[in-house]
Amino acid sequence: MLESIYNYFIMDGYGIFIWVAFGLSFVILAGLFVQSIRLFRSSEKALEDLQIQVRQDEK
Amino acid sequence: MAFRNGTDSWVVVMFFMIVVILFPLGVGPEPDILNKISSGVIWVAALLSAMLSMDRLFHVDYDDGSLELLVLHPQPLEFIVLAKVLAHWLTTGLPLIIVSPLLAIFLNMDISSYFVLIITLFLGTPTLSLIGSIGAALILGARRSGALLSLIILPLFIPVLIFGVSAVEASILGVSSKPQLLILGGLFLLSSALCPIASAASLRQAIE
Amino acid sequence: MINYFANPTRFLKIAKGLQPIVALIAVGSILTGLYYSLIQSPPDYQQSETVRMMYVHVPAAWMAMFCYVALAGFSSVLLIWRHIVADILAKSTAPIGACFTFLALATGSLWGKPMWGTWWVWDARLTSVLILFLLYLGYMVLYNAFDDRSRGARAAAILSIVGVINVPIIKFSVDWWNTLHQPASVIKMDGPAIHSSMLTPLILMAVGYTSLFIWILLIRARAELNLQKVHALKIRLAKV
Repeated sequence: MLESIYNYFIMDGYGIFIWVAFGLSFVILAGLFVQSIRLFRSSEKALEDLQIQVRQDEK
Repeated sequence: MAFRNGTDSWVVVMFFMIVVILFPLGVGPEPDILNKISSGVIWVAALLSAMLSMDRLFHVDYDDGSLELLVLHPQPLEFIVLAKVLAHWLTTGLPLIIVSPLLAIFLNMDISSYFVLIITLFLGTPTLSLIGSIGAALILGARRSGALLSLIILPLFIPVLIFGVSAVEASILGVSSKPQLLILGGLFLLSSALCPIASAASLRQAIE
Repeated sequence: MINYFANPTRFLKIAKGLQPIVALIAVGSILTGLYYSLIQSPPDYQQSETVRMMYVHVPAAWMAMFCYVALAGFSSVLLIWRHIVADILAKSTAPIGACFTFLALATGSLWGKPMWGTWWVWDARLTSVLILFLLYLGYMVLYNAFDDRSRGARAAAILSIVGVINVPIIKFSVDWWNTLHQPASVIKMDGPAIHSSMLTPLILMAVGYTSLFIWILLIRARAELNLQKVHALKIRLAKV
């Protein structure tokens, strides 16, 4: 049981390459996604702050 | 137009020669190694020299406002661009070809591969000038324009470099370099048809 | 039709509606794709287990080219019709495409090491993809190199259209030159030359990557739209 799981992760000795490739893909895409979300949140906040300011100025 | 600055040509030729001379000093004076890398060295140096003089192609006209006159000129802008590219090649590309025999001796090239090198330079350096004109037009008015030009133009220079070098390498190995020369010729024809259009479009948006 | 989508308000409405749908497709197909590619698919008789690398490498390479075509498409719309939405979409596409291109190169390198015995070879396919990566970088740098935002947008747009010449070179580089890189096995005239047990995870991952691209594109485009509004408001405030 334990051995079959071990063999699965080793993947005929190519495991390291395969897992690094999958891991790297995940890290890059997740990083891009998180950065995009942050960009969106900060832009929403900047817009809201400015709109409040504009409303106050109009008063 | 560009002939006014005769010193520019000299600076470019000097730069070209110094880059080539640096290689034997850096790699070591082994004749066999020098012969093997000669085509690559001369081509990379030619590429850098073309780039060095490129950012001045439209710059003076842009700064003093005469670019607007050129754009409004009844002569199609594409032809004006072509004329400027020709002037650029005559003042930078051609001098490189003229001094290249000297460098071929420095790098221990044999006569037949030197002959192929000359053909590739004749086909390749005008292509570099044509492609570079797009970049020169795109960076007008940008910040840090010199470094920017190399970033956007060098990737587009790579195909010319590859086929220029591989043609000479084929002849060093004693194989026919005809296919590479045909591709270089094709690149030249294609870029002389398309690059003026793209450069003219970039110039038009630059002065808006 | 282009004019219909060019209205920023309408675009925003469509983007908000589309976002949960592509998010669902992206997460769903990537998760099932991962299950198929890591567990449910057999090792190849030639490449053994390393064939699993294909399921992250090939979709990333497809997306690298697809994003570039999209970038050039948005750029042409920007140059011809001067639509602000096209500008925003082009600007948002570039970093996503650069990430996919980087992944295609990196996973390809990881695949090349056990298969060819080397991380990198200077063949036509790898070189042209590297040029693609540099084009993405050049686009982004050129875009931000001008004080006047619209100048940067147009200059970068022209650069991206010039660079389109590279896309067919990438596509056909494996057919035109003898290289280590294997030729296309999925997109061929006479149908895919690949077994369905491998095709399933590949298609799932490709669909997942495409919808992930659209998802991130919509998020970034909405952020850019907000930033443009901020910019306009600031100018208005400065005038008052």
